Amino acid sequence: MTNKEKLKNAIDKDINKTKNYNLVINNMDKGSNNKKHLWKLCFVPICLSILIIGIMFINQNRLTNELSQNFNTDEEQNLKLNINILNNDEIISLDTNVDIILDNNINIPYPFKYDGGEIIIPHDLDKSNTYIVYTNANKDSYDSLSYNVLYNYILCYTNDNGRNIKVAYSKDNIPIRDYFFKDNGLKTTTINGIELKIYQFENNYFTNFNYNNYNFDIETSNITEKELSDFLLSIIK
Amino acid sequence: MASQSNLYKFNDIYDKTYLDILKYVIVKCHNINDANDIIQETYLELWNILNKKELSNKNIKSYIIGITNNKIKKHFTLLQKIKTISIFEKNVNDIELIDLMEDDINIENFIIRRDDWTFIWKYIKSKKNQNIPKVFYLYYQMDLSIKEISKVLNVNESYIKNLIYRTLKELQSKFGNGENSND
Repeated sequence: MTNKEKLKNAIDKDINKTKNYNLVINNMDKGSNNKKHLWKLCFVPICLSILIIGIMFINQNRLTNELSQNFNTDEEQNLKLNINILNNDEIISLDTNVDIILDNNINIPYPFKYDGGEIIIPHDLDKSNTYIVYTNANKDSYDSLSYNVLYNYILCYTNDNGRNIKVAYSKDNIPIRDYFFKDNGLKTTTINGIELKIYQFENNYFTNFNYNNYNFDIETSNITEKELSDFLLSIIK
Repeated sequence: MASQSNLYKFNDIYDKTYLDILKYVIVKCHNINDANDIIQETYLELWNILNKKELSNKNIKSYIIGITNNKIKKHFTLLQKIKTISIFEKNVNDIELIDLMEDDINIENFIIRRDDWTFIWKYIKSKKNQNIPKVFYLYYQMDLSIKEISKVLNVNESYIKNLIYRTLKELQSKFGNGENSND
């Protein structure tokens, strides 16, 4: 058998018409079985939803009151961001050699809670994950155990609809990325004395800055300009 | 409940459209590892639609491509698109070198001793530049020519040759000396 035939066979085993057909058929059956018991399955989530909506309604009222008392001035809330729009040619990817560990149970330095302040995250971003980025001191080794140099942390606020805010930060390092922008002396935005450049690519915003002894690198996806502005204002006070 | 006639109709549509839809998914998806999921989700949705309303066989392929587009978007997560942009093609000297080659880059000319091609295909699929597995799929599995691939992927022919040639060289260096054959 030739190399080409071997490769074809391997690909066919992976992406296979019959296998896909059978999986579709199996899921059709599951779908129709689920329908028979739909009322049973729906009952508990409906009760839970009513309970959660009730709690959220009460909390929302409380939060709105707190925000109206504590949040900054109108001037800040209407901050105009100077966005640098990027196209494909202005973004270059890089090979980065890191190990990113998801660990939601570990205690990591939290960069936001200063002066009693809290960050403002869109309410629908109801999930958060903590990642730790490690680099490799020994560049010749690709063994996962050799990735033991703590480089930066990432907090990711997200939901199931593809909206998220990723905050990478470190006191000692500039958070690592696997892409960079061709910077052509672009527009800047000043927030409370801190000058930063905000970039936009399709539905994503990017910015990085140093504040409160932390180097921040922020990426968002499907977040509005107003939500980004509120978020940045809640960090840079 | 789904009728038997709907199942016959579904089977008929699946047989007639599968290859075209798969090719579309391979070309448009951001990660080839999502291809099976996208295909399954697309046809499952088609099945649900067939049970709700009558679909004409006319333009059925366009209709399914519409469903497929939505499924591809669902699998498009943060920055995947820009993270697969490669600086590979910027190496002008390489492109000139590859330009001198024939269109048919013969995989048999590369010494690849490892016999587990399932592993090698997984390795190709894991490449950060997802154009690599796409090109390999279209070239070796679907037997498209370099010209045809360049047209569907909207990249130049030199880039395609470059990807195939470099990846085969890499496979040869990684799997050709027998060192990794027992991985």
